[in-house]
Amino acid sequence: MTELPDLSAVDLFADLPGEELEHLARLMRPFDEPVGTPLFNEGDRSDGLYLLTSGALRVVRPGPHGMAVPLATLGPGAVVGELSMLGSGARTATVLVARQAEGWRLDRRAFDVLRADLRPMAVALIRRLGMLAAERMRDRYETIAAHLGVTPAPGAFPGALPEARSEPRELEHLSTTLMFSQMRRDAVAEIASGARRLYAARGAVVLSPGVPPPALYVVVHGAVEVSLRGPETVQRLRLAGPGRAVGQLGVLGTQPAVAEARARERTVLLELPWPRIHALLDGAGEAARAFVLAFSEDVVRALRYAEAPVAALRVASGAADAPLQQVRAVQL
Amino acid sequence: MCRVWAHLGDPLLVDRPLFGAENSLITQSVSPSLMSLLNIGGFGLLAWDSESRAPDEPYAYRTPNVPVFDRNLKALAAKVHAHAAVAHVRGVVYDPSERVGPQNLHPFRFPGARVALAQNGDLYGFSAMRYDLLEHLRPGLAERIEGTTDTEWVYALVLSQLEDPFGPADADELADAVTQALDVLREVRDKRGIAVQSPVNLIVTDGESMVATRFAFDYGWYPDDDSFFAGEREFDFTTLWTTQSADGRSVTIASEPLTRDSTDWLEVPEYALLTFSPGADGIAAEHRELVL
Repeated sequence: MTELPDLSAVDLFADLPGEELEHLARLMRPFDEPVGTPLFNEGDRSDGLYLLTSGALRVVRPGPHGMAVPLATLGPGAVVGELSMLGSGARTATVLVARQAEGWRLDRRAFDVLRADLRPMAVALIRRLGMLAAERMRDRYETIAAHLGVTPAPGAFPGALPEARSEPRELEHLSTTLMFSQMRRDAVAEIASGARRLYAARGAVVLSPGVPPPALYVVVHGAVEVSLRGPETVQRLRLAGPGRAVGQLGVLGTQPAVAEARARERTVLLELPWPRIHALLDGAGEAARAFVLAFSEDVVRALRYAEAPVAALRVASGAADAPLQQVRAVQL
Repeated sequence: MCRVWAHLGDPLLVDRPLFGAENSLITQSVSPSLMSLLNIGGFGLLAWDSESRAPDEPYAYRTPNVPVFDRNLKALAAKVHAHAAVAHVRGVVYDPSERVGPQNLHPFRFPGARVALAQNGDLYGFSAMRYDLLEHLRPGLAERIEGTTDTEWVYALVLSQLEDPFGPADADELADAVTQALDVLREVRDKRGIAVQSPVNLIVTDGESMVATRFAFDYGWYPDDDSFFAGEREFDFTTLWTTQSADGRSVTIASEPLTRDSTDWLEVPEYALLTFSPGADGIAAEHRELVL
């Protein structure tokens, strides 16, 4: 394989303009692996994403006690390992060559160089990966809900959360949290500018299943738990502490939320309405480009949490039926 | 922060989890995967061997030294065969105010008591609330506290909730005692206006049953100083993992998986209480939501 790969036909790269596609294609290196070879193993650090042009790949997840759980068989045109381009980059499945496989690999380190500079090509790809992760997260939530027998229906409508006063050193604090720690301070200020700060008491509903998320909520202090509750068990889908968001699935449209989000601790939230989010995701300025990366990484982080083999918990006595705590109007 | 490891079930040579495993407890003490701080505050081990003399009494080894250089520990680990064990590497902040010494080493177990406790956690502002706990301790327990750690007080508080603080306790009794102790801690924190993140990952056992928590008060309210959580962001909720053998006869709890391949391990969800009880078919495990 001496020619460059044709990326224009690959969904993942569909948003990229022609010249950027060509640049990306030049970064890709061919691979050719025989049957039985692992392209990568679950837990490995990512070495990049793979575009299969011929042959077949088998995706498996190692199960307990040496068992392998088959997840998918992929043919030409498939892209694997794409979400490991973001975040910590750990592989979440093992991919084996099922039939002599040829294709192209986009090296993670080469991509990281582009990402560090927030090159338009990297930003466009990151945005696409973020949306892909959101779609997978929704599928994951729905699968778990079906498994638990939980129908996403409004259990408790979120009350209007009271506003919280911004703190003197809030910007400094935000800049240390996961979502904002890689941004320049002025980019953090631009993103947070004009956003309302809301206060949620312990137990207050932030998002209700069956109701579309009205905004993206980024935790400033405290924690919000996203969970699916059955009659006897509760499956946590995310615990969002400082610098993590809830309501990301709203980026996909106005579909109702699958899971409930409640404040697990007294919590201060930054409310980013969807028009603002879309403006940032589509923007070209430095703050917007930094936000694309931060948002996409947060979605991938949330997806990883939901995919991790975390045990369901027996519901604490009375917790499922406990009345919601009154949302208190507290000025912080 | 600290690192912990515990085992309950079929007898096990403790050398492998302490030294031999890819990510053994001693490896974690110098090169943890899920946190950034080095642990240099000492080491402790309690190990119950049903074949030993007085099997209710565990082998006990504690040293304020760094365990990775400890040949005595290595030699002991190669001999001790335990059906239940708890080991702990103590993490301390790099500050002269820290008291590193033999009185502050986990797991704590008062003379004559059956139940022991180790913690991976840190109650922020503990010096301000320490003596508020006195009224919640059973008579005769406070004077047994020898060290300066919050954990020893938490231990005394848990014992105080048991019907017999010096007797054995099944998993449900231990779970109730731990939950009640956490309730008291929340009440005292509220009284003192302490509202900063404070993890309380506990392992409590009498050598027959075991309870563990992955819990934090006021998670997400970071301290504004150089205490344990400054700089910890990705792993800002203190970690805990568990695994059960294929035959269900043994369980392990640890701050981090002991193997590089973590597919046999489950991350314990945040705000959870785990109970482990011996039964005819092995160890019965239950994961409960911990709501206070």
